[in-house]
Amino acid sequence: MRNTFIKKLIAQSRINKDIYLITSDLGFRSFEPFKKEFPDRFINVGVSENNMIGVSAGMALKSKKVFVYSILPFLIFRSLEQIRNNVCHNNLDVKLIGGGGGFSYSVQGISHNTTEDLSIIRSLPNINVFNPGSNIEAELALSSTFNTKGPSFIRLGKAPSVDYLSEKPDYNIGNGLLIKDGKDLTIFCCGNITRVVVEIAKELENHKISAKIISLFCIKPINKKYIISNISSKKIVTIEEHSEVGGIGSIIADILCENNINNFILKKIALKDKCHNEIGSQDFLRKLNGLEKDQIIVKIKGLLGKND
Amino acid sequence: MSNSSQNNELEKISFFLRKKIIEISYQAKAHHIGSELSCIDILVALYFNIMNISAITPNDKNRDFFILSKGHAALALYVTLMKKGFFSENYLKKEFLSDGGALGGHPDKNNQLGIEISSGSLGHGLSIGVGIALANKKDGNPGKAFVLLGDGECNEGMVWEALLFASHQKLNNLMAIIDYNKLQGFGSTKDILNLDPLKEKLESFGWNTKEVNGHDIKSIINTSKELFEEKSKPSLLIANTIKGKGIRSMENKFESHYEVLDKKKYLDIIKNYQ
Repeated sequence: MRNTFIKKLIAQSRINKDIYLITSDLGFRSFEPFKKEFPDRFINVGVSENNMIGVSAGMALKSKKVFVYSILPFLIFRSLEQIRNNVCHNNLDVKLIGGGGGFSYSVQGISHNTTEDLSIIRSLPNINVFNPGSNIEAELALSSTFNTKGPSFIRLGKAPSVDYLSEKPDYNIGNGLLIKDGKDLTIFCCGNITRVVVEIAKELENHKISAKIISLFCIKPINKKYIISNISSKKIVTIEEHSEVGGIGSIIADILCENNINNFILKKIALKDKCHNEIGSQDFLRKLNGLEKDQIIVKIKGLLGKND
Repeated sequence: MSNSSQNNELEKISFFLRKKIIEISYQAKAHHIGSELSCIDILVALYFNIMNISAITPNDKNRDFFILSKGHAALALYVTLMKKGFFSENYLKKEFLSDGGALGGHPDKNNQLGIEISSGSLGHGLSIGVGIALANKKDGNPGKAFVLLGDGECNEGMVWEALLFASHQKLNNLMAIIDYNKLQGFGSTKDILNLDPLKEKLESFGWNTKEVNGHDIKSIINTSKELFEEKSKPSLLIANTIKGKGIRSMENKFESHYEVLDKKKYLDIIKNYQ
């Protein structure tokens, strides 16, 4: 997904001379083509994320469009105050690109895997928040950052080699994307796990369960009307590789409650609110946390009263 | 205007703005007076001589930028912007610390009022100034960036990240000024977290550094000019200042950071202010 980002950024930078790419010394073996083509617009501040956000804010004050890259926790958690005070509060044109959403960094541990970011970042004002699950979704998120002047955040992960979207769809910011239609169950998901959800829905068909999938790769702004009009079943499931606190499960729960939508059953499938310091591959960590494909199928069948 | 009459004029402005800081702080029951009196001469030197900033052309692309990184000295900035013509005294009195007012205890970005960026959390401003200076350099824009930091603020690690990066980028269009009154939250900087030898530290970080009496406006102006003659380094002015300067009962007292004036003390100060 990072390579899609850099490819698209290069293409856009040919058109928009105000685009800068700033990194805190990360992006090796990925950002070199940008650096080669735009040596004056590639800035490596060294390993100093707080300074990086401040410098980006200063450049944005002088009408630059700044793309800032780091691995997610360093970008979001270390620099949260700089992002909040300098970028979001002042509504500056700074785009935060974070690498390694969810358990993407697998065996690298708690310092690198990021499972609380969406909850925190979406509470900040003025910012658009994206959590793409495929290269096409990443492109849609990026297009939005090219066309808007305020802050944005994109949580990059690993993209499936074959996209679950067959082509780039028309997209209005705030909406989700209909990945698959269905009548027994409505699934909202986002990010890394969406590819797994697509496999799950296929398998559910074998069990005579027809699931609708909406990818909420844009979690802020959120078009509540779109969400409400796309709920086509009494039973709703949210699936995310993120904490159960404040992710899309919370978003959907809020919308259902605020709009007095009665008679629904919502099941949140997400990471428990605990320290995720176990070591292992992404698949291992998913399984440990009930996010593995077969575990989710069992949960969904249970919800629908169809477990054997 | 000759140099000496201009200096005299700037001293008059400083005298007037100190009095306004006292008056308005008393009326609004504001604190941070000591910090404001510590840096007001620096602000006068910057806004009325060194910097290219005008309330008439705030959107001039080539103008200079000022960042008040020690955001708690907000009123010093407000009275300076008022004198500079960004807004009236009545406006300032009406908006300062009032319900729904535009001028809070820490500055909030507002182009029309001349406030470049929101500040208040210490340590952020230098990086922002660095970003402005870097963008100007990339564009061949002659505008400069000026950042005023407190000495206590220099405890923040982010300041040193910005110091490293600015000299690496050879930002000769950037000036940082440290308001070195040697007092911070709980007492003297020497006792809390010693910065000395400050000049040597800053020089070793690659900054062209000079010390100046931060209440000698003429000296601030002349030293700034000398600093900008260096073409390969950013400029750093260590302004040796006195917290609470100009009000004898507040001078060199770290309590003047927190003190809110009561009527008796206010009347006493005004009576003796000359």
